[in-house]
Amino acid sequence: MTPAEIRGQVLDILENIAPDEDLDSLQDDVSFREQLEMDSMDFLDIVMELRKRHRIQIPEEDYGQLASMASTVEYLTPLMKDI
Amino acid sequence: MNLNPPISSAWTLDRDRVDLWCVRWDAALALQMEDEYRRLLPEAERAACDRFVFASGRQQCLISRVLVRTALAAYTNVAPDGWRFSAGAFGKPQVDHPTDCPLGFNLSHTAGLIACAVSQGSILGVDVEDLGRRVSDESIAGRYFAPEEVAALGMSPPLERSTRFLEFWTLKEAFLKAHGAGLSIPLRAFSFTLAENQPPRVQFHDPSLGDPRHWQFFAFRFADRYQVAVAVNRPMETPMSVRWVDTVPLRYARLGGRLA
Repeated sequence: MTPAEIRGQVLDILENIAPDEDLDSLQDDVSFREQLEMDSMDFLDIVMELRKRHRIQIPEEDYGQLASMASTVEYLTPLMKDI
Repeated sequence: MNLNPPISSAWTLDRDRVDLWCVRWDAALALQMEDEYRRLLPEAERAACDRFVFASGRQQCLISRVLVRTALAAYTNVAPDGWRFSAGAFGKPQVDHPTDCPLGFNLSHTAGLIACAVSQGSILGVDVEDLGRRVSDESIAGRYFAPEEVAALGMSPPLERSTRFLEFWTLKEAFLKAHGAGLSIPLRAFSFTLAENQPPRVQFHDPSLGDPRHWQFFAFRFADRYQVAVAVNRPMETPMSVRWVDTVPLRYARLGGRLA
């Protein structure tokens, strides 16, 4: 997957976690928590959804790298390049 | 403009008590406080609230930030607009000014409720969850919780399982927030035992977490709709209690009663 495709996948997961919300104005370089009403449970839902959909295992010590869309795509790009 | 909350006298807070300042969101919205809250906050905090994509997020952000200021101001002679905050190593908010502030605080919010726990000199964490929220309880518990917690959830009646899950979850989240390192601590590195009419008991499975006897935990239902947990870094031999304060920041603050 390209970074743009990975971004689309993450956006799709976010839309499932926060249905009926319009995420068009999401800023990629601002943390999710600073612009969406997400809490830790929503965050774990994202991690589990990535695992379910793409078999990606993300260790707890790397969770800090999933703070924003930009950092998430950067983190996932090497892991998802062959998908 | 009077930025001081109309609270008649300074509040006091003993070292053996936590005050939980609770804002019912609908009460704050009904009083149309948004403009007043915006005026109270420094520009950087207003801008932080404006970054939220949805109006509900912006409102929650404004109320939370004013709530912290009014709650801390109630115990001190520093007005609500006199406080400055910064983020700790893992993003946990802390008081920068006044520099000698002995108060600890922590915030949590869920649909309809925002809560700020305040202590005298103790590090603490709070988590509130709407019992009606959608939860992926089985998958989160199975993947992240300690085996004894998964077993306890498995033994609870199916209709009570999501409530029981939120009891565990709020305790774990309150501890992680008190500790300050968030989800970088695996949720299975510590576990809780819940029993009727007894305070939650914690076990640490990772020695780096220290001595569990240095922590006190409180779990209770609030307003029949919310599950609340408070974690306080204070030795068990000095038992603490939790009372609540019903407030709309800058309007009123009324002592509720003892919760735990």
